[in-house]
Amino acid sequence: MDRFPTGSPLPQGQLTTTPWGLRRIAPYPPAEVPDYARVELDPATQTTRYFDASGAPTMSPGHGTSSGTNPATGTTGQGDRNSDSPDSDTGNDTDQ
Amino acid sequence: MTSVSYDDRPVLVVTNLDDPTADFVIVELHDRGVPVVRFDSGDFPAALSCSAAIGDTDGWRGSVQTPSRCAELGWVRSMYYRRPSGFAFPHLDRQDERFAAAQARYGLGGILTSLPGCLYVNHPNRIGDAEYKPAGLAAAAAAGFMLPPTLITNVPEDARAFLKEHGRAIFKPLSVPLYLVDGKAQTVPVTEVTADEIDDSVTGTMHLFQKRVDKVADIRVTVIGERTFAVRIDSGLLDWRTDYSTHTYTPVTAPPEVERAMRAYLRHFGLVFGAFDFALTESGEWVFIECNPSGQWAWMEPPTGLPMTAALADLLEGGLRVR
Repeated sequence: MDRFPTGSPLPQGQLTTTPWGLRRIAPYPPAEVPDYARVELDPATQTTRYFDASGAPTMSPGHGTSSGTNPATGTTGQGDRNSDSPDSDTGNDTDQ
Repeated sequence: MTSVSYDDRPVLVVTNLDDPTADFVIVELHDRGVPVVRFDSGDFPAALSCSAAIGDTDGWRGSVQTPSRCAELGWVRSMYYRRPSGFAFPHLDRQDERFAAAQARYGLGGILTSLPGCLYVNHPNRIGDAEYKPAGLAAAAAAGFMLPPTLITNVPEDARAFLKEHGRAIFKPLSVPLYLVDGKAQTVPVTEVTADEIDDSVTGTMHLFQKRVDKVADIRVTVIGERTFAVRIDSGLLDWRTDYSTHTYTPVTAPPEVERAMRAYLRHFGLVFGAFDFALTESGEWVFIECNPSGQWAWMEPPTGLPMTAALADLLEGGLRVR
């Protein structure tokens, strides 16, 4: 949901500078590579089943632990804040 | 719908498919015999459908249908709103996608955020409000927390003056939208900044600078309904999220004034769950850093033994009945 409702942008053509904060942008710290290849919902329990590359059932990745890792591969436990999620603000709010 | 008892009312769990934290809570609810309907709103419309009518009734009549479950909208007990993925229609052209996503967001999102008699943990709109750092800082100040001096600005001279006045300070992004470099998601790590690093590019957008708190440890407090779980985290790191392997965890008790301020903060935003971060100073002060309305918590349960999963299940099971 948009917390600061605005109309369509009306650019006036003034050039402004690339923000200082972008100099600090950097890759997420190396992520632990998840050892599962596929997930599906168990219809009976409504919990997730994890499978490895060979299609065999495998353990879930754990307790929603490691944060500050690259959230692109999934979300849980990867990024402690919602805003870490790639599709949070922009992904969601650009559909206004 | 007429003969449904409270015990039959489902808990909705709205999250993506890879969410072990949600699984822990779902298992606990399942063991208690509480029905659960889980879905990712991002699966709409491919694997999720919804119909809701209003006008001749008090509230919505209709349902959300997943491949395995169906939830009557008027009978939802509570909603655990975790981390659903965004709406996506990548096969449509840009304008068509924008239209489809906007209808989904305001339609499905609008219905799911206006269910009567549903306890939201947390309400998605309240999460949205609380994710604004300036709103959080203003609420924290009003609630009586001790805060680090903070400047949000696009005026370079003001940034420079702030950094000179406060010595060690850090730069934090106000939000981290998707930013890809060579297909890899980027972030802005919380790191120190000095006055001589500031130039006119600060005019380019808003920037948040904060005095670095001289801390001896961090404290994470997870408030779940009426319960408070405070854990001291010793890591030696500026931002403990950058390396979990260095942590030791010790359950602690929040001082009464901190407890009161957390309650006031959550009340202000209408939250029933909050993950508060504090810096603990040498003199024992708890300095407010931020409150995440959707913070992770499950990883702290095994090392501390704190019954957070059970507390969350209690909240969701009770719904609005016991509140």
